[in-house]
Amino acid sequence: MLINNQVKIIFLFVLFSIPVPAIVFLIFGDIAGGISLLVFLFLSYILYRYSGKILLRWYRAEKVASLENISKKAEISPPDMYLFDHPLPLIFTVGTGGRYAVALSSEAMDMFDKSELEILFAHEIGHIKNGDVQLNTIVALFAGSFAAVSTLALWGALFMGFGQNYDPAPRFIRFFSMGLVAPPAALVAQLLVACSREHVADETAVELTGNSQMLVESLERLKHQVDLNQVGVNPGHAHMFPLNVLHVTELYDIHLLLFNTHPSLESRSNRLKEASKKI
Amino acid sequence: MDLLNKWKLSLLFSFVSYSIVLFGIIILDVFWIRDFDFQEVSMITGIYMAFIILVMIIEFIVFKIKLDPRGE
Repeated sequence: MLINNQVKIIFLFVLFSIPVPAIVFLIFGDIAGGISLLVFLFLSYILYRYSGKILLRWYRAEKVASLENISKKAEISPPDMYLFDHPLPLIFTVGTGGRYAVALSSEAMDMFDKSELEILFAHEIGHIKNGDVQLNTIVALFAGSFAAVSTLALWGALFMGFGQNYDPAPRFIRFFSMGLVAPPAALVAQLLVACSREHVADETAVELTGNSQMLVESLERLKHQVDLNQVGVNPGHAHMFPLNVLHVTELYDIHLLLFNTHPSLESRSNRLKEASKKI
Repeated sequence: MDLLNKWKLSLLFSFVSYSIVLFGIIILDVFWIRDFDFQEVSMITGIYMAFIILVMIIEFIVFKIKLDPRGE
């Protein structure tokens, strides 16, 4: 799975690095094409190296600790723990090159008790152990940047005097721009991120904590809270969270449907029950 | 509302968005050359739509494989 994910990362960077230098080569010749290829390769390296930090900065996350105990159980080097302010109970893991960070929202910190947090952390450790995090991070950076264009369009419309963000005109502009960027961003996420990653991370969490019931309950509580507080998140980042946090409440949000990369909670619960029987 | 759970509808709206962009490109072209050159507009439309339809077919296949088993 790890090698498979690395191939996918290389594919994504090749897709990112080739088109512009190819066009420059065709228009301006081989020297300009070569220089632009070098520039894009360097940019790819920077994005690969710092994608985790970029995403942590995106959420204004602050480092608070490192997860020693549970990572010792999983026999991996301890990831750093970050906190960020958000009205939804979110938790995600980012990082590349062997350095990982688990970020937890303030709402999740308030909502879950110690044992629930431990099992959610175990789920994230499961992602690290199974080699999902590098790919998740890179995909989040690309798909998230694509999807952020629609937010920029909304802000642009507001600044150009199209009214408030609940008025039809700026919302239509956002809907229109989302129509342009959502399918390619969702295509990247759907092609590269496997649905099965959540099942494998769930199973690893149960192996580490020995408690499948609590994981199911924590996920159900998280789902309930997400359903109650329908706050928008960048759809390109949705695959990083433990479950699908995107909501379609009106026609303007319909493009969010394309970003669902999670298995249903029911199927995860059934898989966990089977796994706990084996244990 | 069941209509909101249709990812195919999302792709349809996307196609409309891309068509609006094509409309903008044609208007720019007409203003640029100060004439409506039917042959040129047809060529732009043909190339643009061929690319968009090809990408959308790929997207349709991928989303059908990935989203339909999850009941969406």
